[in-house]
Amino acid sequence: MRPAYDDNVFINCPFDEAYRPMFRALVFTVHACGMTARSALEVDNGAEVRIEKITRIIGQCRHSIHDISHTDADAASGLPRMNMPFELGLFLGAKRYGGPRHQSKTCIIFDRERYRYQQFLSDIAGQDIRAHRNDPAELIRSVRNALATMRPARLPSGQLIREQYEAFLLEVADVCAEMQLDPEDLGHRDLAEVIIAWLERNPGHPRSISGAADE
Amino acid sequence: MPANQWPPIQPTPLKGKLKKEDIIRAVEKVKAARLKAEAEKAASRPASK
Repeated sequence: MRPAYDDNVFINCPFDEAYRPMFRALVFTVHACGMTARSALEVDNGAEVRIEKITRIIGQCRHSIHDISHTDADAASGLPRMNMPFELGLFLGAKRYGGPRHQSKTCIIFDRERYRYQQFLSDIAGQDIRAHRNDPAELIRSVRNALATMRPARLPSGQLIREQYEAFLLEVADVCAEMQLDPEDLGHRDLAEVIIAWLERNPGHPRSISGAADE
Repeated sequence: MPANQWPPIQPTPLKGKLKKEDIIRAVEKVKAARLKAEAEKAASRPASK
């Protein structure tokens, strides 16, 4: 049985409405690969300082996915959004200074275009930056291929995961209606639970072959 | 109105953590409806020679 740490994936991405289709595709793909998506959205505890929540989750995750594509200036304030690059730095710091347990941490980094980061985050030069072109299908394929290099288990193909995700999208509204939930207002934890249950009841689910441990 | 005349507050699925069995039940119900619709659609097609 693999420990949860090895299967936890820290998701560092925008949480705004415009990014929601990408976020859902991302969370679905992580779970379809038999791993567990973790993010700062999973706990809404006003007593926990945000940075402590983020560092706690980073400490519990061996893997991470960072999307730095939405660092553009905010329309209202004119200021850039720095949270994603900041949390990428935290994760890299944990890997560098966190001791033996964290030296094997892995990062998958996305931007809209592959070399755009050189203009605003050149310190990460040399790392493999992937481009998703704001396309959920491309994000699914790319995340699956990256996770396949980190997992001992066989993973379903990107094509299969994409088809599963399209089937999931057709049914998620009805599933939510059965539970009196608003599909447009699912929190991270609820979204993950619905995805896990849907994958378990539909073919091609890889958890049965991965031996992944639930936390 | 005295407080003791208010109807009891019912727990709602919107509050707290979702129960896995409730989600599974909902997923299976939706899946069964889809399979039934697919079977009816297939049965309504004219048989090919």
